[in-house]
Amino acid sequence: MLLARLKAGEDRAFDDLVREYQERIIGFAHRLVGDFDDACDVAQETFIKAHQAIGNFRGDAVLYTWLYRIAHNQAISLLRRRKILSFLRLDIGAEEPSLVAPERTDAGVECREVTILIQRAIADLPPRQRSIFVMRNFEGMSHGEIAAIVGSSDGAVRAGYFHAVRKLRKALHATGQFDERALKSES
Amino acid sequence: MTAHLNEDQLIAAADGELPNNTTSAHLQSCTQCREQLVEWEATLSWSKQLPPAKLNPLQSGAFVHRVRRTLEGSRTPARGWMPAIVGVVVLIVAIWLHSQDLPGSGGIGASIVVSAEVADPTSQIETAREFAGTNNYDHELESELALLIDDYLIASASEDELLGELEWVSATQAYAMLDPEDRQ
Repeated sequence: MLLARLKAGEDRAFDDLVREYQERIIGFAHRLVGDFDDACDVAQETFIKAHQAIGNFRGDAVLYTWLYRIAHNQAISLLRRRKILSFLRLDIGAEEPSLVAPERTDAGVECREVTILIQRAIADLPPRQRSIFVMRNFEGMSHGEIAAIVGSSDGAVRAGYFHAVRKLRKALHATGQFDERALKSES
Repeated sequence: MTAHLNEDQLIAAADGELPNNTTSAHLQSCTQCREQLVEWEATLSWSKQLPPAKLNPLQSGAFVHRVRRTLEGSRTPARGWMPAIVGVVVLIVAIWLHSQDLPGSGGIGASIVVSAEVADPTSQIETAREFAGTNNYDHELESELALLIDDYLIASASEDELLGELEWVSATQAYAMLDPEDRQ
């Protein structure tokens, strides 16, 4: 049992924890902060904080939900910091990185363009809304799980998610580059 | 015929939530709502196709090592001679920075030294703000400020406190820095 080994202070258990969850946490952070290096920093901080606080983890949440909660807080903190720096104009010339997508070899140029549009639309969402959208849409979490992670109610999470989807659709419509019904039939 | 479904109901249905009997019956009989539903489904379907970040085995192993190294580094107790070395380095840097601030040199020393003293956040942000207004833009100062804001946000997430510290901006500008969803 990984949790028991962690609580017992077994060093190898911590490595196992990182190995088991690194891809999910980095992937989650990547979708939130948009830059792979920043995502790795967020993930590293997440695991370090988890290591420091494992003694206080009571086990009333699932381990990965707990890790997501820490990662969510770290990523939101980074996004806020970026926003303030941007506001102070201390990052002159530096744009917030868009969500990076590797070049898809199995998709055409049009598909790539739509992918970029969607990435930008998600990156434009406010941090908390973005986090809710990512957890629901990409991580497949329930509204209840997300509520536990962001420290909110189910209703507030649903409302945040609906707002995010509306904004996404609006952004896609504004481009006028594709007919959703046609895309639906393609997908 | 019942009223058309609202956006929340359509998004919920597109998201896979099972519609209740009334919603389901309406969808069966209303072409307009069915078309709307298809559009919402398409929006979600396309956004789900964004590829996830994947780690190759090399990156994966390197990340575990990196976290382990950081963890062990944070555990290393400070040796007795470390504070002395740090003090000497700080002194040398301070002298060098002071020499950069001689009249006409246009240096950045004063700003950095203020940051290095780990004073209260207000004065540091104020210093950074003044500095940002000049042409002496410097990435080092940006890093200093980034660390400061990070510590500040983690240590005190209260909106009032943050806005209080940033009293030099107008209330409208300050609120623009915070997202409504983030306000507790």
